[in-house]
Amino acid sequence: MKSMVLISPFARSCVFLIALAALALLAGMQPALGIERFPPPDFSGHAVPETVVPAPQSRSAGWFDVAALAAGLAAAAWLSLRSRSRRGIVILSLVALAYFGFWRRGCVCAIGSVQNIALGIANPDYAVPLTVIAFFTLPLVVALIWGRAFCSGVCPHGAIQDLVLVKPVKVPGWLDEILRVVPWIHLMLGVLLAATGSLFIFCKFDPFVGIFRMAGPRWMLVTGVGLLALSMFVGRPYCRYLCPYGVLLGLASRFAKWRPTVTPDACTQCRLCENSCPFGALNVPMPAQQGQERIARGRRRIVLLALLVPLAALLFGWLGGKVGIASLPLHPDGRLAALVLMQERGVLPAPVPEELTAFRQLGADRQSVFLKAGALETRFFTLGCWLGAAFGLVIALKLGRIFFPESSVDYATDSGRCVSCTRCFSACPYELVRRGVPVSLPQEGGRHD
Amino acid sequence: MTDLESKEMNGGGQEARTTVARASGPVPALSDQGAGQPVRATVPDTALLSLREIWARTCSRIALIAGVFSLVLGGLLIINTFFLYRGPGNGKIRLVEARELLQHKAELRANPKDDALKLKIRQLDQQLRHEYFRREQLAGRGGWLLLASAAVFITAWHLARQLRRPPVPVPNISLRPGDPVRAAALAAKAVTGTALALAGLTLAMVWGIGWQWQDALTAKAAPSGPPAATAIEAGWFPNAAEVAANWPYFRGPDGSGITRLTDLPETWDGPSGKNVLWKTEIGLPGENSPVVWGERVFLTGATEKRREVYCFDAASGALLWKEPVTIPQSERAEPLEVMEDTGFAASTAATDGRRVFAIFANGDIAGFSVEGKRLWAINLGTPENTYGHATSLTLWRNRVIVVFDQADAKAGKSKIMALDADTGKTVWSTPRKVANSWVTPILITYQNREQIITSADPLVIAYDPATGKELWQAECMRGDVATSPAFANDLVYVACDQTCVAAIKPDGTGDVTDSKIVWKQEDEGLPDTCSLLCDGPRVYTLVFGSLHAFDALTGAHLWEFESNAKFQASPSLFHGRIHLLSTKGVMISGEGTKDGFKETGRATLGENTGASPAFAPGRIFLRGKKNLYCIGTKDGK
Amino acid sequence: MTDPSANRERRHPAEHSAVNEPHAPGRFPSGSPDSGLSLTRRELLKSGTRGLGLLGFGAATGFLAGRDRKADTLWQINPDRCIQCGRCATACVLEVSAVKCTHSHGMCGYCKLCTGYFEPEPINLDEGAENQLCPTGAIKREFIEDPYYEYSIINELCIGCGKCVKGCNMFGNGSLYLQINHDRCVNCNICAISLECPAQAFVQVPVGQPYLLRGKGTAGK
Repeated sequence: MKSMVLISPFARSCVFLIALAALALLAGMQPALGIERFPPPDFSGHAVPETVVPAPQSRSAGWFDVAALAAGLAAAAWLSLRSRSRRGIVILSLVALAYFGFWRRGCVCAIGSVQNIALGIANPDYAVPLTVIAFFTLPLVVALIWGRAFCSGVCPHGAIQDLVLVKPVKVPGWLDEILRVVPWIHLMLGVLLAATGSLFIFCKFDPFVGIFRMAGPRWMLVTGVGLLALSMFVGRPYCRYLCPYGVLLGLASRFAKWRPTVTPDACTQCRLCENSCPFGALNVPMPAQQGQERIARGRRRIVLLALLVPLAALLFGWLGGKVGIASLPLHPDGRLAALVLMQERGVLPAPVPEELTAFRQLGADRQSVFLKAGALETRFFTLGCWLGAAFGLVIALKLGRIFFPESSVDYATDSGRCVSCTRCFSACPYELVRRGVPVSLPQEGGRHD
Repeated sequence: MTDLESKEMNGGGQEARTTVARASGPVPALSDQGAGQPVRATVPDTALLSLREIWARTCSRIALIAGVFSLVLGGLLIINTFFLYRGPGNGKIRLVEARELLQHKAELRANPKDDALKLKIRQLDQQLRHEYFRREQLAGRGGWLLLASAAVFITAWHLARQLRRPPVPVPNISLRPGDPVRAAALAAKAVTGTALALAGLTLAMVWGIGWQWQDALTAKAAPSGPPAATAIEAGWFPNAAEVAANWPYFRGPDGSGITRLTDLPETWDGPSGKNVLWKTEIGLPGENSPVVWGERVFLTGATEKRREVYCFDAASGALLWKEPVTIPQSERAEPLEVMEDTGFAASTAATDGRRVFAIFANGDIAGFSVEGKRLWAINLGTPENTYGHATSLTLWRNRVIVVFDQADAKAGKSKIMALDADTGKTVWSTPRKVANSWVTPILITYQNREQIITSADPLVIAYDPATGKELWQAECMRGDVATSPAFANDLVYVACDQTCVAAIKPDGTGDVTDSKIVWKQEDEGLPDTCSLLCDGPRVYTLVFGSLHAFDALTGAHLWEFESNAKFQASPSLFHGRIHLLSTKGVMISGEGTKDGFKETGRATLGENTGASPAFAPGRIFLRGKKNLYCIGTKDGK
Repeated sequence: MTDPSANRERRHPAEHSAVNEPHAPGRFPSGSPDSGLSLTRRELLKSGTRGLGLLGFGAATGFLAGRDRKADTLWQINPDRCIQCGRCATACVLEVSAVKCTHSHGMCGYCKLCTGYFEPEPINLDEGAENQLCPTGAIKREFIEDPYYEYSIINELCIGCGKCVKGCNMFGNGSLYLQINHDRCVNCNICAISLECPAQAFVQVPVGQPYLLRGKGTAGK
């Protein structure tokens, strides 16, 4: 409670005149921080009001959210694998969209949790909230067992896009492959920036959170609405071509124990389901080679990967380091160092950024700014290299898979890309029979009466 | 929707069922019998539209209407945001700061007597504010309306499609996948091309940015240390905010031991080095606590013969300078005896960011610039002190406040004085009728009256820091008084181990023993050396190994917490928790509630200590018997 | 809106055989012992990876959950670091920022000429719109006794622009300052304003102490 009285009480009546003079004097000077320049008066008959601040909202929703997530995941897995009900998935999506989207306003969110986890692993002093750990882990564990149940009807981002999909347009295979690289870039950049404590880009550039909150920067709302309009024709563009958590779920779902199958019984290759997937996640049968040819193919694959993997990992690892260093200004400490440097070199464009004003005003010192930036730079570089190399690995493996697709006998959902939306089920005559729709079944091998 | 289309989109009823039977299965794939034909054949007349088709039409009309409505509404809402943010600058200026208004205000300045213009401004202001809040409300309600209409649109469209879709799908052969090998080759080319393009693009982009950081790298190698402080002009002193943002005196800017910093580490381990940013050997021993300003940490150390002031770099722990305090007359003084626990440098230094001041057990007091240049040094005379002088310095404006209590109350040797920070000359000196004490005074402001609060046997006395005039006194202390007071809830809290813990309303004059002592607690929890801590609702005392809590307003003894440790350092409060540093260097943290102390953790320094902690953003400074420790996390989080 | 069945007419007979042929040989691959073996191997690899993945998630969760954790936190502005740049008003994810002005009356000088209320060099010291600094008129000015006036913030009208705060901190006591109002704040994972704040004044505070207030009775000030 130390404060300084610059004006003694008897001069109170002159306060206003002095203030005027002070105003004129100080007008051009550096502003000083809060000081008790004018002593608070002693009122005999007037009660000085208390400082009022609004009471915080209750924050108990966290564990309820986790319970809702777990229930949603269980329901989605059951609906997509056992009851095979598209209607059920739609209803679940609506509920998830209403609760996780509009009610909880898009926060807490599994996509964003990736960043908390990255920061938690990189910084031993950051304790990731338990609910956030649950939001990160539960969908992934479920994906390892039952496929991407989270995407099908629990994630509000997926739900909002899925629900507005009215007239799917097929994205050409080559374009689809190119665009599917984007989420990996997004993931690597996001992890780099989150782990260094710079920015959470998944949250900052989240297109739908503005819609969930009915507020946000104009660009965010415009992007969100634009992406939704696109989602009417292109199935789940965010999930397929942007979502960083989606690629992790896809990876986990490749090893899933159970995943949705188009037909509940045997596939007769009637091809009715061929175009039923709006997300390009249904694979046409790819017969496996036999004997000598098979062995040769296996060798070619190994040679290709042995060449590609180190090459891509090295190239992108090297680039990643560069990107890391260049991203330094995205961290507040890095940005401050950059600005101080620019100012000292006289290359700073007017007006002086607020960061520098704050830096001067708060009396921080130059050396520690650069010490911090230097230490950060090392972290950015190392992490950038590793993430770049990982990205290279992804590219190499992707190429390997394109050249040597997994053989499959029947029409089957793609192990990584299928989001368990259950749309393809109703394309299968066997499924319809199972549901009691009177259809005549095709014969084995495609012959029919 | 044309008739033809509607016919083709037929579904429902008996017709649909026959269609199903035919269209399903392998028909489309294998039969050459144009699969569309059977559908056509079963289309009913328009006049006999099925109920299903009527529904489908209704739905598509609803979809059309809802779609158009959503589009128009969306457009209007976007236009609305442009109105909300209008005016000069980058478009992020609100409507309420529209250009016309600013212009009119500027005009008025040139012509202050123009009442018509004034009126115009007022009208415009009201109109703009009204419009702003109206549009804001519009944006909020419009958003929900848009959402609802979009939902209707999507639902209706879905329904329409659903109703017109034959229950069994028909493959769209025109979209069938092409040759898988060719497709794979194309995809591979595409991905490779993209990867290479990405690599090239990244390289081109980072090429230009990379150079800037070379400098940051070289800065790492450059000698570290804080920058030179600005020259000190006579009469200068820091403003309150600067003082509040640092840790300039014993127990912080207000002597409370409380910091509102929120980014401090709570766990560390000295032996393993966890969260120890650095550790530097100090040199001479001392029980005084570190003080911190910006990037500099100050300490003192002394033996019977030598006295030194140290300045460390807060970031790296490097010793920036150490300066001896040598005064010819004190060199010739009689050998001084102090208790071992107190030592020759028990008083904590004080700094104002440009200067640092230190006092030692032999009465030497000196001022240095923060770069280590000696400004002045004087000897106040060897104090007659049972254990050794331990009262720390504090600053008021550009005055160094020295409480120099010695001998017993009758001897009349005790005094409080203010030295000019620039020269060390005495500005005022007031004799005190008290015995030797070890209490560091605190500075408070209550009802616009700044006061220095001191506590000693037998008097608690408040002084005016400007003149040294006594403001009020209360007789309630006895014995060896060492506990520094606290100020909160408009009450001054004082304590000593022989009489009481007491709360005094600091608005009196003269002797307030009978009038202003609000409560007095004489039975338990009377502290020995450690200072008081008040977190608002409660006052805490540390008695040897146990923490006692008193109701701050009534003085009722609430609870006692036995920690099984010993304490010399005063308690601190941060992150809303009480932190007690034991003599063995263990920091015990926990929450003080009205019911008791909830211990939340212990952190070990690995070295004995008697000094109180000092705080800076992200860092805690702890002084062990030998080393100074900086606790923090590597990235400052 | 077109129906898939419409396309059937465009179907070319030649496509059928082309489409159908490649599938025929692979019809019953499970009969081949070779591919049967490979499937098993693949299955084994898959379940192994799955097991490892589950273990990994378990370990990571344990590792992260076992951290020493502070209580849940909320975002808040440290008024001592705030430089009133004005970004709080525009950077919040909410349409009207969750940051609003708070007034510690105990620190207020009750000045007649309040530099947080009036434009610099006001024409008159009255409540006329031409003299007011606040763009939304969110400050109420009431006469108490000569020469003192009481100022209070009308919370609903405040948009958090910080103009009054700047005025009060530059020339006055600093009793006006910005705080995140937790009745409105949605407590984003990373506060959007904190990323824009040039002074790094945004801190995370324990849920139990959601405000960093200035003035009497406030810890540390």
